[in-house]
Amino acid sequence: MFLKFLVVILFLANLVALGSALFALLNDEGREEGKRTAKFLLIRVSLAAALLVVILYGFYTGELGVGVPWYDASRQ
Amino acid sequence: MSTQDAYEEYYVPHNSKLPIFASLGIFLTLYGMGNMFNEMTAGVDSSFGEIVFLLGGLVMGTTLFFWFAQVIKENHEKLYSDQMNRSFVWGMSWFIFSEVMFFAAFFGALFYIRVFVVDWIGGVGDRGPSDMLWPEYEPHWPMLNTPDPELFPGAKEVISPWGLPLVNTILLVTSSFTITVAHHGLNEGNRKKLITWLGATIALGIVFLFVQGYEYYHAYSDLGLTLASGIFGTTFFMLTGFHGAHVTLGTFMLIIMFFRALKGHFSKEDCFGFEASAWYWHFVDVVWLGLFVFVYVLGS
Repeated sequence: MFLKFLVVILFLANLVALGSALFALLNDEGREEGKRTAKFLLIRVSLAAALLVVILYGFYTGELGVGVPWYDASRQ
Repeated sequence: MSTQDAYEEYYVPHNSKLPIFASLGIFLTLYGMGNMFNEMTAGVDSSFGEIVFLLGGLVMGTTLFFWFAQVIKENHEKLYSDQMNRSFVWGMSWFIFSEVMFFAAFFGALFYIRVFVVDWIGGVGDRGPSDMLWPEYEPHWPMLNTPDPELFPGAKEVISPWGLPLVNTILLVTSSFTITVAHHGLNEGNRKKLITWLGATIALGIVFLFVQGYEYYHAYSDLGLTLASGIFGTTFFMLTGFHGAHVTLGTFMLIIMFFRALKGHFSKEDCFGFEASAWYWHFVDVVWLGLFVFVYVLGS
């Protein structure tokens, strides 16, 4: 359950970073200060990588496995 | 400078024929698509709809090519005032707003169905007419059975998130890294870095689309998971299909940015086109992460 919670939190953090980058993009209008956009987007993709790591951890520990009864686990 | 002076500098391209061609392209594309769907539904063996659809796409693509070329040329000739440039920024911001609302509607539909409707029909509250229409209904997700399996065959199973969808997630997150490296290359004034990593991003986007296409083929031919195989199939294909369309759009944007970068169009002081395209690529990545988390991993 904690892992699912962490997945949702990291996804929301992705949204916040993406929103911050958009705010910087529209305010700086592609001028020199536009480095802010690149910085926020770097934070965004780092959070995405963290989310991916958590999901992979959940897969290997079985905490985020497919739970439906008709799904054949041996096919994974 | 007074407001009046600033207004006078606002450049308007007179006598442009491009909007007429764009209207024609949109009309032909939608008319062809409508005919395609009608022909498919009626089981008519005709390629009229497909030909009109492709013709419309060709007209639209050619129009956009000349339109973009015109705008870039005018920008280089310094015909645009600050006010005009702000108009481009506002145009992009409204486009992004419409995209966010578009995906919010589809994700909203998925949540509404999953969290409320499935249980309501199953007896939380008053079952009402659903008891008469589908007495054997049991609420669960993903719904793979349908009220009339002969008319609407349900899916045999759902797609495992840990196969191709995981590969696609890794591909798209990697492509976000490569576009970020290209973005930093632009800010450092390093054109070679910009072009190399932008090219890598485009390649990853194209591979993503091929993997998605193969996944659809697998779903239709092996799993019986189709657009008509029940509510899971419908929401699955609507969300992932529209996302795929947006990755295609994003790839085209990046291809245009790639050729512009080759021609040396960008500098760190004038790069809104590149930055907006890079942001859009991150946006389609975040939408995919939402799909992967809520449709594939937590959805099944």
